[in-house]
Amino acid sequence: MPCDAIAVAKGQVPLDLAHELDGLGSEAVAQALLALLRQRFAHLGQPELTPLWGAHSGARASGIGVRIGNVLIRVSPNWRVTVNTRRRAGAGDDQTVSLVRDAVTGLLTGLAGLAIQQRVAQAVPQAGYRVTDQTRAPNGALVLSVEL
Amino acid sequence: MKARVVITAGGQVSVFVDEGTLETGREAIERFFARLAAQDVAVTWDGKIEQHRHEREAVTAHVHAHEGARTQ
Repeated sequence: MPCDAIAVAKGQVPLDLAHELDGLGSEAVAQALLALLRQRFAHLGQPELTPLWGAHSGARASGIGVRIGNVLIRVSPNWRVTVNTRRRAGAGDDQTVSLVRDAVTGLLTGLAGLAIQQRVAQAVPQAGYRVTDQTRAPNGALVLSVEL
Repeated sequence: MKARVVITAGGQVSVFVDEGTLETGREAIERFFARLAAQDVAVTWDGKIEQHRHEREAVTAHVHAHEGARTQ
């Protein structure tokens, strides 16, 4: 960004991925996850939400479960991502699992980043400042024009 | 006073004050971060203020005209 400012300060909001994703809620994250899988992994089939069961207890587990083809994605309530095959792994499944895991992890990080941007942006007018413009920079940063 | 607030996906919040003086800019930035904190958005800031505006250096253009020279 071209800078010709009189005074510049750079601060940091602590990035707590779990906190930001909690704010979005599991339903919104699940829908984003389904959209990602439909877009990036359509060749594997149609993604579907699926209930999760505890590996040891056999009881219903909380979190988000999605199956697509031979791949099962689990997102725990504390947003830990686990991806594995549902049945015996076939040729190429290792790579597919790895690609899906990276994509899902990247999605959660991206959603948390958008959430933190929105949280800060909403706080600015709530703090009494007039926002005259809002744009997005090529690097994805949210840029607010503000009357301080 | 006009300013830009840049929020990255990594949680960095930068404030660029485009009007006033360095001192009024500092005061406005301190007030801004304090008010954000009151909205439950705590921005960690080391208190450093940078100034990115510099006096323009005079630029002198020299034109050398040579008799007989042509410009295509």
